[in-house]
Amino acid sequence: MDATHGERFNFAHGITAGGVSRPPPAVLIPALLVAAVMLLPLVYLLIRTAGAGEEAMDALLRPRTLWVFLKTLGLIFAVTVSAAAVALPLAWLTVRTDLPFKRAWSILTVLPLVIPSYVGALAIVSALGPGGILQQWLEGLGVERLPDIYGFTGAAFVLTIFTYPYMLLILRTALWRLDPALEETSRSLGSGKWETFLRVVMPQLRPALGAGGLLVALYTLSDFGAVSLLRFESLTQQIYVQYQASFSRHAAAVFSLLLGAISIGLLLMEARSHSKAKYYRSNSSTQRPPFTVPLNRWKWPALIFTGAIVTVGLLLPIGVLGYWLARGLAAGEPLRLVWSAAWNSAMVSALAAGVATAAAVPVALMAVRFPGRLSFIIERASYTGFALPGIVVALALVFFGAAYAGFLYQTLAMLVLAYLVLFLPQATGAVRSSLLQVSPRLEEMGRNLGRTPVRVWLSVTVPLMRPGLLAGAALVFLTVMKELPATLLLSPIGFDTLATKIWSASSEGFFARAAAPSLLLVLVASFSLLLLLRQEEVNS
Amino acid sequence: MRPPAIRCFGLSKQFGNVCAVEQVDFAVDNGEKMVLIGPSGCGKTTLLRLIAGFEMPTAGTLAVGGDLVAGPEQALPPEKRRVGMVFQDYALFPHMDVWHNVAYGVRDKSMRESRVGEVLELVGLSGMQRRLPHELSGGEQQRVALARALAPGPAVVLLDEPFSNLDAGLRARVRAEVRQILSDAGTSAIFVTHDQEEALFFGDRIAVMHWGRIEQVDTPERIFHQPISPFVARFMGIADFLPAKVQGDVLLTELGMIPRPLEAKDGAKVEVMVRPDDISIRPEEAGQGRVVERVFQGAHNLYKVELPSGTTIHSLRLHYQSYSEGERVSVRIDPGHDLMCVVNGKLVNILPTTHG
Repeated sequence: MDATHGERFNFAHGITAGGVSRPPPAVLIPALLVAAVMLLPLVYLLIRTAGAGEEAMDALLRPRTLWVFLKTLGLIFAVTVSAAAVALPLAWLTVRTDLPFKRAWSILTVLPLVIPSYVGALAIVSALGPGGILQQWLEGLGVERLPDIYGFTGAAFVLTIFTYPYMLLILRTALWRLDPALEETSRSLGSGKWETFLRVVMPQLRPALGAGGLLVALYTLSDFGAVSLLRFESLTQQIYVQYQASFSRHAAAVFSLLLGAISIGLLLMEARSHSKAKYYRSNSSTQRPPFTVPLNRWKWPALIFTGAIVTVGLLLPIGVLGYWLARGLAAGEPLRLVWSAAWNSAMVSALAAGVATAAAVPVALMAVRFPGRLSFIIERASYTGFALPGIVVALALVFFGAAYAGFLYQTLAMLVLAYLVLFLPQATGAVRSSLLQVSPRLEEMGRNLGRTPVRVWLSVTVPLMRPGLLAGAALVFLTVMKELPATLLLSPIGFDTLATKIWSASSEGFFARAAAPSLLLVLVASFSLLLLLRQEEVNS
Repeated sequence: MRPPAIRCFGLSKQFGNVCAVEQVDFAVDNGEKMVLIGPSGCGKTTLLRLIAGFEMPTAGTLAVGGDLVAGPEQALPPEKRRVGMVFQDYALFPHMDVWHNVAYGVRDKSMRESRVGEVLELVGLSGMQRRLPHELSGGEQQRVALARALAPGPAVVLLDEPFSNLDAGLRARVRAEVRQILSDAGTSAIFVTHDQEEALFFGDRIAVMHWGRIEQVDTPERIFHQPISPFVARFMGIADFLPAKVQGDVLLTELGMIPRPLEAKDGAKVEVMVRPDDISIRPEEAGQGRVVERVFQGAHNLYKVELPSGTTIHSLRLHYQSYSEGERVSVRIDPGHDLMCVVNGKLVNILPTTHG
């Protein structure tokens, strides 16, 4: 019986690498463990809501719930469309045209990525809001009122400015990979520039737009800090309010499930465009670089557009933070408290980066080297964090900790666990792609030379994956540094990070006190991003 | 007597509905160099992977050095098989230098230093221990891969199209070097290729594969001159098949009479196999053939000649025997060895030709 089972296994997997071997326990068990941890918040939330019964139904059917739900959808739509409207031209200008200082622009336009949306919101509010810098200046000129920056417009504006770089990065990669021969063919067949762009280039960019749009939409959906500071009632903001006020934890659970449902809906929408991606993908890896389009008289409008985006997304926030820092220092604001928060941030981020990367290795190994139904389930489970907003995961873990794991409740371990659930997909992505670059031949060779699978992985595969492991860790480090809602809900008492310091200062309007931690956060995030961009360059 | 290095019996491998390897029986003797040849997709690489243990056989048994390593009930993992491997892309560990690559498979730590030195000397790379794979030329990488495969002292070394990544000039030299190294090491080897010239050069014996089966295992000379099927004949070089009619004791062909083989009964469909070097042509106004193509090959000219019936036939001539396309020639069978003919799909021997 045993032998037949082994043979069946091999048939199912055809000629994949190391066709003989079933996953050894040293890989399978950790992978299953990771999958179980990842599913914990979702499963617990479902049980919790189901247990709430009528109360939960009441909360769900209130008109107010529907209103918040619709407003959240509206915000997602507005931000995704405007981010595409910013990212697409920028991607085109920095890849395909003779824009002056192209190399500098291509870095500068990505940099708003290092500014967390709540820091961006803080900068915008303190600059353009009531009592802000702009109004103080204008008062001298006799202007008393400014257009309101709070609410939908402000939230949509801020989120667009600080999320478009996600889409930009993906679009740029796609543009680099376009086969110029396709455009040349189109031109030779009598299509003009615009027709070629619409009929040949755009369809090939559609998967990238879909993937980028998904990232922006999920970010908007899960954003908590920026919408709260801009006083926009979104689902995340409502969950936090409900939870803080302890009106009803059931209502918070219901809102959380609603939030989860939207993100799963978004993922499914994107998956549909994904199935076309294979069809559109150009196949050759050794192709010519795309040719450059001269801008001619469009040069100045292009420069102004690019410059404006960089000004609003990068110069304005940094400038405003610098202004508040200077003012705070002049007023005798102490810097001391920032250092312990910075240390806490760095420490917990490094811890989470290490844990997430280590957890990603067995998951990626299963997915790449042992494809099959079990691996599929494990990989899907590892994506939970991608679908669930931070506040939802945090809330589920709070409930879970309070009910079953008191010893974990309000410990650093619980916080790291939340980060693991949230950011494992980022680590898995990086680890997986680096694993794909390690030829299975090398592993077969190791087996052939007499080493067991686990020893081959330790001596051959893992050393070769090192760049990917580092990139994955850097990415998680960067994201954890910026993370706000889970940190707010799960930090041990008295454990301040840069993010919670910024949050508490800015939600009370002490902009000067928020400036130093914000600038520090931006600085650290920039290093991680540079590391990441360099890695990308090395890989391509 | 020592058992053969490799013996497989009824070895089969199925992927879904496709039978990649079907009922393969063959053995490789100690120190023998066996070549596996066939068109792409014939199953030769799968057979190699079955022997190495990267695939599990669906049926059949496989023994390495007399020990059963795969059977109906169990299969040893690749790391326990004593089978060395050289991949097409060499698969050198890019993060290890030459020494560490070669040392990887030597389990006994006390032996490691001396064994690595020994095989590196065997392949002529003694001074290069500290080089990384990307700092080596293609030929050197090839020899490192071979040294690494030999280092653990395997019962047999498998080479999967090992020369296909080298350019033509280097290829002939490296091929000779590798053959010499394997002979010096006294190791048995199985060598996969789709290049018939390479097969004829490399193999003590050649196994020709077709659709997952082994059609013929024989010495290079017999594979070339005594193929057992039209497929083997065609695969191992250009072969033309001349339709013939049985008439009494002779076969009647367009190019004259040939003795009848015993197997050819009256009325049987018969084709005579001729290779380009068996056909001589000479310019003649009233000749029955017409040159339709000339391919200049340096020392030789290869002619394609059309006969009155429309059948075409190839003739290999020395370079100074140069005829132009369209020229009329007389055509003659002039083999200097036994001819063969196809009777009912099988190749059979004919006695020496009578000049017709």
